[in-house]
Amino acid sequence: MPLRLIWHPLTVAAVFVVAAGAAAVIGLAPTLWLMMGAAAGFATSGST
Amino acid sequence: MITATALVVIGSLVRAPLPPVGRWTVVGVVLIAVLLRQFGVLSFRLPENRRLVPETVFRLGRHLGPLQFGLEMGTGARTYLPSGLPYVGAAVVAMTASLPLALCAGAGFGLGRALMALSSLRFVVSGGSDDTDGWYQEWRDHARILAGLTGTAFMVSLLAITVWFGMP
Repeated sequence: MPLRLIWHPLTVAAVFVVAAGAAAVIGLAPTLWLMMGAAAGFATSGST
Repeated sequence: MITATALVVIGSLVRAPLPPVGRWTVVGVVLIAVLLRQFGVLSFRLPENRRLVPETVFRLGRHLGPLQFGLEMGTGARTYLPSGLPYVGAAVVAMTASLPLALCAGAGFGLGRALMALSSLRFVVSGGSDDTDGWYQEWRDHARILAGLTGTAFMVSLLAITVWFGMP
């Protein structure tokens, strides 16, 4: 997979969704809070 | 993490008289308001310090400069926030989180921001050279889809927290 696709924002965001789903299934509180924060942080991409 | 700690401290005072249902009601109200704003049903300004971190911050050198830059952005002292998710996250942390879990959320927020910077640096356009502007252009081109994906990841995590751990 070309680097361009690996680091594309859509790819990263899709990985976030999968990771959040996995965390939801596992049910570990720290991981869930971490994922929630990470999703919020990545959602602010484009701002400086 | 600094902001998360502050949210827990302040939130602990606000949430103290509220029963668990009341705390999650506050979270729900914030979530609904942000969603309605996101879809254009409501229009209101969310608090944000609409100032960029000045480039002069890097006069402090290659270590202190980026540190100050990160502190100002990470704590929200200076930043634009194109998404309402941080506000919902702040409400969840303030109303429901213990300090360790708040720190996890704060660390996660930093991880998400760091991943933005990392992926923009690693993004390679077809010309074969690093082009961070290209990454941000791709973000702008797919902004709606990206908002949906990040919102989905956020909501999946939040729903899992409520399902697994109920109303603390």
